[in-house]
Amino acid sequence: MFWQMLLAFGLSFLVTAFLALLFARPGINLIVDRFVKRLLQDPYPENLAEMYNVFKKVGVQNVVEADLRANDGEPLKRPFGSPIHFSDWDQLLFNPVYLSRRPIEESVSIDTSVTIGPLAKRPLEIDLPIMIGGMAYGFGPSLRAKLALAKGVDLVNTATNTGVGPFLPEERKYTKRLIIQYNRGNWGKEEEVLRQADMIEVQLGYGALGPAPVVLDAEDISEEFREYMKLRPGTELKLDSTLDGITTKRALTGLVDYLKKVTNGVPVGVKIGATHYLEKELDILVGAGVDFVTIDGAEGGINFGPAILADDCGLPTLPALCRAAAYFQKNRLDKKVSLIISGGLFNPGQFLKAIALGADAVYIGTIAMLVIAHLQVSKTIPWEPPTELVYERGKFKDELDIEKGALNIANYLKSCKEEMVLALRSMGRTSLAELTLKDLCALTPDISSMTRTELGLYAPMLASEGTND
Amino acid sequence: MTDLLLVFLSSLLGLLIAGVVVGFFFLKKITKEICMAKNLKRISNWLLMFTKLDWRNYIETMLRAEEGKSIARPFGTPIRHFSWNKIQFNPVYLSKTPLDDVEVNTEIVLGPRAKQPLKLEIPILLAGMAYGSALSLRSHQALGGAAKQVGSVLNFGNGVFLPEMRRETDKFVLQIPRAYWSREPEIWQQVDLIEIGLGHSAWASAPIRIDGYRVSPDFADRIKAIPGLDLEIHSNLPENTSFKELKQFVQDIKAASGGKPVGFKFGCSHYIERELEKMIEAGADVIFFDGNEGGTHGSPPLFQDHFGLPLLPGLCRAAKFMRDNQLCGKVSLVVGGGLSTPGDFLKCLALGADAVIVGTIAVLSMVSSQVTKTLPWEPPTEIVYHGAQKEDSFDYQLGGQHLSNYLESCLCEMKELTKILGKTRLTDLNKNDLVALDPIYAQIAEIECIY
Repeated sequence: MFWQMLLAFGLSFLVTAFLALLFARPGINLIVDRFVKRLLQDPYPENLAEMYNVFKKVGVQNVVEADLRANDGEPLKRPFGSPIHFSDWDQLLFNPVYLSRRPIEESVSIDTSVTIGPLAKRPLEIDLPIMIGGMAYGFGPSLRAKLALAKGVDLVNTATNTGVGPFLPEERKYTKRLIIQYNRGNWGKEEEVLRQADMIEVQLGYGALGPAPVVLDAEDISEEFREYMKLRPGTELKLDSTLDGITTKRALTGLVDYLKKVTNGVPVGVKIGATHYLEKELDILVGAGVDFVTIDGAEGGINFGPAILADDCGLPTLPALCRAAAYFQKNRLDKKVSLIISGGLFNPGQFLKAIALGADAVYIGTIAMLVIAHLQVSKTIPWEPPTELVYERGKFKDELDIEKGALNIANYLKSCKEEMVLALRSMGRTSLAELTLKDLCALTPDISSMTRTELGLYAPMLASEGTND
Repeated sequence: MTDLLLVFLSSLLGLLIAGVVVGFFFLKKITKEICMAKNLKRISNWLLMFTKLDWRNYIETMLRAEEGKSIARPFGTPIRHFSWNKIQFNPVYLSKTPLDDVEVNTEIVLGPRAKQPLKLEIPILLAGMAYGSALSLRSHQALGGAAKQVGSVLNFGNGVFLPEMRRETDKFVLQIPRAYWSREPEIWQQVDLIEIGLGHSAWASAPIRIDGYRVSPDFADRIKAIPGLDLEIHSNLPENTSFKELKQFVQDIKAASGGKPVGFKFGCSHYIERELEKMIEAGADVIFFDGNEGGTHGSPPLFQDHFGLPLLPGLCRAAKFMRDNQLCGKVSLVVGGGLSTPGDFLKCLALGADAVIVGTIAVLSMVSSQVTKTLPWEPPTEIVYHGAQKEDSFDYQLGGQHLSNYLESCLCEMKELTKILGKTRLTDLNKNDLVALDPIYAQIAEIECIY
């Protein structure tokens, strides 16, 4: 049978080849001619070119999403967050030095470690300023993905975050530095859980969702996940838009103090999505005595959120970071409260720029999920995106190899760190703490005034020149 | 061979046509299938993933996940901040007389203050592309052949001086790397210009480790290194223990080489004025730099995309510095980075550069039709790198001919343009011959805007 099929295939191949060789030129000519004639002759409303116009005007993404809305009649559950690139990181460039200052030799070691919550009793020390952001088991990643992340970050001595999901004893076992999110739901708040944290992040919202309530329907909850949550079948999960009872500064202060006490002094902070009322929010947060603030820009990823909240809400990462950093500087919070930034950060250049602009560390999310899938995507492509391998609702979630995933995320972070070290050397800086706005220049006047960096298009004014070193 | 390929391609075409025919009949069904919610979701997910994260970011991320160390991207950054097309030349009709039958003078002098300045027939220099760790010997023979034919100069980059190249070419630039080799006065005497390499845009001043397997045995032998061992290029020049020492080093080179011009090579940055000040104080006769568009054999994307300054503002700032300090005609300015057309070259000259450097485009034009030897499975560069599979199949005489043709062609066009500007020497071009199409370009270059 096999040989017959092979023979048939071979023969048809040869025949097609022969025919094609014979008729290729006239054939192509005929087809192209007819196509062009149609394109140039058909009345516009019937013309194929109209399709091009429509897609160009509306956008392919919008056409597909409109069809999806037409199918379901429900808010769009869009993965990854907004595809819009709001923050123009490319318009900022680092300033290497050659003779004006000395680059750092290889014999001098470069310090990329960061302390989060320096005033806390038990601050969190990480070896590199990149942590895995809050992605909740069950809501987004699968158990295997969470464990791969936990194992991977442990190899490079940084931290991972539980997200709003349940506390996973396995995750705790795999990693030395676990950030536990204090969520807006009603689970995971037992003292024995909180005591296991190395840092606690009170979760008030996302960049891509704002403080919107999140509902996970009963049918979207897998059995395994339900067991971890100790839920009855048929019940849904809900994150409210506010933390239960925490709507005032006083209440928040009480919560922060409580968490510090329960955990015996790990850093306690709050995560918010970026908004134009940033300074007001920061006033309240800092007033409540937090050890760190996490700001998630509008480009932040999310698993299945309504498109309108991702595209049309909140402040992009870059301006949010610049404003928060300016606020920290004005209020002299630099070495007291740590600033963590997240949202649409994908490469070490962006991480380093965020740090030069005033962040203490960054969270990565989407990119980390893609990294743990790495070569294992061959199990899902070409019909499904790689995320099917790492999401709880993905078809291939059981096929993810934890060891490989852990190694890949560790490799990715190592590679980023190595490049950042090289970058610091060529800027003549021996540690991340020495990196400042003076190490950046902007290529457009807008970005220059937003980031408070010098404009690279012209020679610096004499007055500011002295301050550069 | 070609017939076989044609048959293969034709059969593919045949299958494609068959597919189209079948598709035509089932078009409605297929469209309907696509519009089903689950398929739409798939499409939407793919679209989202690659609009949020472009494919280059994705691939580089995966390379990092695989290798666990800094990755090396060849050719330099794909980001272009400024376009040379936003600046135009101003032809003259009656306001001044366009020239016809005169020969345009393209000669330049590099390092006019030196005892033995370097005279070149064209203002286009070949970039320093390291022999031994990047380009192969054959490639250097081709580059050298072309340089001799058009009157340019060959540069060995981080590599080492090859005395036998005398057969191919007659003018050399020697780069003094931030390592231990190329320090012999006998070599300095044999070359025509000495360039102290402080860095280049694609690597800034970061230390570079050249993996042992990339170092050719011949190169290792010439620098008395052990073949197969990694080579280190440091972040600082070993002689630069203090600025005084560096100054002394420059004086030593000048004395020992018999007055050859000494230049500094670096990658352009926001601190460019202060770098220039130091270099000129140290005794530089020529300044070489490239904008952040500059190419490389391979360097971390972080340096390519996020470091330095693009060539246009860099060149304009450097030229202004030269004018403000009365250094024009004393210290030469040679720039490069992403330049690929004669128009780009001429615009740089008019903006104040004395010469331009070509790297990537020179290699591509050198390979020219010989790409067929590597395509379709390997990029064309596989033929010019040392240690590449097809290294030996490179015909260096043909390559040299192609490169010199390219340079001649560029030069001809530059001459044509110079004539319709009413000028007889390339060195006569200045900013008044230019106009900007965009106000920001006008401000950067201090030229007039079209409106």
